[in-house]
Amino acid sequence: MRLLIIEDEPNLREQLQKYLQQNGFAVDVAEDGEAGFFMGREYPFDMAIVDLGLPKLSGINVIQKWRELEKSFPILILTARGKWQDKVEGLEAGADDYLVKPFHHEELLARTRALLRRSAGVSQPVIQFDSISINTSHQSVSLRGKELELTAYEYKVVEYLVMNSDKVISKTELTEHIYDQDFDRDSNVIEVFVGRLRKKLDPNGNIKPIETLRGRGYRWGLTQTSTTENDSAS
Amino acid sequence: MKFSIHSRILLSALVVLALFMGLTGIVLDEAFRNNVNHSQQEHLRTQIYSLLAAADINDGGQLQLPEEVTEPRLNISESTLQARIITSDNKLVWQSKSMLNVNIPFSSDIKMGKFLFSTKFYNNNSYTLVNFTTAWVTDNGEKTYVFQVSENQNVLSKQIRLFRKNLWTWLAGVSILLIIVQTLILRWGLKPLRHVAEDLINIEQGKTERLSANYPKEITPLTNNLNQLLESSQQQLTRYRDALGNMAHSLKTPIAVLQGIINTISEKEKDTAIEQLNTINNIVEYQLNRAATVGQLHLSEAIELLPICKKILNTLQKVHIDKNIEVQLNISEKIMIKIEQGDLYELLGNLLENAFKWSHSKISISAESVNKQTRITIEDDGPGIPKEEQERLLLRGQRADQNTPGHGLGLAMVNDMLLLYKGTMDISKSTLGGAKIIIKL
Repeated sequence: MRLLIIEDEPNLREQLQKYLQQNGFAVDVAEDGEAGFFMGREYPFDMAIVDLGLPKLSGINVIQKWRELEKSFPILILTARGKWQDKVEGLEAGADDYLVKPFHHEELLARTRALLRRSAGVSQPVIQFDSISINTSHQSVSLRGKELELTAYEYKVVEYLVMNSDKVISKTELTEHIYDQDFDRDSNVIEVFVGRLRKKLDPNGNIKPIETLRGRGYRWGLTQTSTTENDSAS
Repeated sequence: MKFSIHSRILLSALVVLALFMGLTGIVLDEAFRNNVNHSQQEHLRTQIYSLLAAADINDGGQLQLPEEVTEPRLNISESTLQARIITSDNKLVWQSKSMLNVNIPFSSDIKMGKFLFSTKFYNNNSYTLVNFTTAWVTDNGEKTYVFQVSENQNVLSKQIRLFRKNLWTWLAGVSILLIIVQTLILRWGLKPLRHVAEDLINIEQGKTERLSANYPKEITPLTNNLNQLLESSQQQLTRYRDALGNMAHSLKTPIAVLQGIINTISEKEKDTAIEQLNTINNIVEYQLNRAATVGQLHLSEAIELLPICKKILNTLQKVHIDKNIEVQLNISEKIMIKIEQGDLYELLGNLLENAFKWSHSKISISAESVNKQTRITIEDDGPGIPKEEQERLLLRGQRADQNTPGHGLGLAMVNDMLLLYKGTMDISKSTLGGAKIIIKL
């Protein structure tokens, strides 16, 4: 999942980027409203975290302009004033949630995951497919109740495919969503990840969780069965 | 109670009018009576002259007058005019027919060649009398005669009475007319002041933001100043809030940064921490100084409750979309509250956020106006607030639970805010199962 953070305070921006990267997201950052708006318009983000008080272009304006361009990724606003009028204005402009500064990083992470799940149409943090279950809170995948050992990038691929299970995902799209802008990309790596994932998720080769559509890309091949555990994030 | 300007002017005008009209009446009455008396005296003088002209000395050297004189009233009995001539030793020489059976008490004053007037009361009637003494040269030498004429004053009194009646009727009529005109002038003259009062009421009710511009030049300085005051208080309030908001904004980001690095602190990051703390210190100093110079006075306007309530509900529905909460909204469009808009956002935002946070599936919000007060009731079907917590929350300035901002803190903030508006908050158990918060303001 690829995130955009627009925050003008350099220390906070760096911290958030580092923290979210450590938690398995590809994170791009912008330091003012104009740059942030441009990035959100040009690159395929899965979500944006926008500070309201930004130089050049206010957070509200950035959100409004994105929504006018029919950018539909979820947006979390950060507000320092905590004024209700600001929150209402932010959500009326098109944001989906707010967080008042100062906040605990865990809270931001929980809200971010909740928004991403919600936009994928998944309401619970644990998603179950027959013998495979994916815990988006812990970023872990289990096969028949046993947790699999996945690398961070392998997990990102699974998560992205699951969150977009109704679509065919091209290798380029996968690359764009699991790496941030500064990463040196190689689409062959994706093939390697998918190959390794198939072996781990389906060692006997009978459930076929990841389908390959020749010349088009990949698709998550399983249907969700049931969900468990309460959503601790919302 | 103090008299209104209207009653002051009207009352003083009435006093002046009464004095003026009374004095005018008295003066006119006096003048008229003098005039009437004067003309009666003239009349009596004329009678004397005509008697003098009619008198003649007969052969016996006696003064004599014809049986019938020219003035017809003297020739009939029971007339209002009488005349006689006597000698200086009080012997009757002649008397008019009207003098028969009448004994007018003429004065005995004698002064040669002078008309001596007097008033006497006789037989229930007032009489004006005149004595005129003259010397008559006859063959037997000079003789002194006194000509005496009297006239009943009844005629005169009647005239005066009639005049008085007319005079006072007219004066009263004119007075009433003047009072009416005066009242109308006053109403017209004081209209701009009434207009100011109406404008102020409209401002209080939030229908307008300033006094209208069309006032007479005498009160434009007042209305302009009032408008400036309104504007500056509004600006001051905005500046005050902005200053505090800015302070919060500039403070919270450094705090967020500090929170981020506090766990993983190294030597290099410690410097950042110290730098950020210094920043906080400087900002607090600067912003608090600024905020202290800004006043808080403002004339708050009444604003509609429903639109703001809907906006906040939309926001919260969006944020808590997963909870699928059913909201029962029962607020009439007509309900207006006298509160600053930002404060209403905070008030409702905090209360409704709590309700959304704690409820399982249902929230109810309603409002009604009772005796110029607005009562807002917010209920949810969550776990509710324990009895002892309810009491603690209602103590001003106490945070119910310092560890969970947004719950106890939100209610405590609402409670503190209500203090500024002289409002009240009541916490109880809802029939929905959770908390029921009633605020009145």
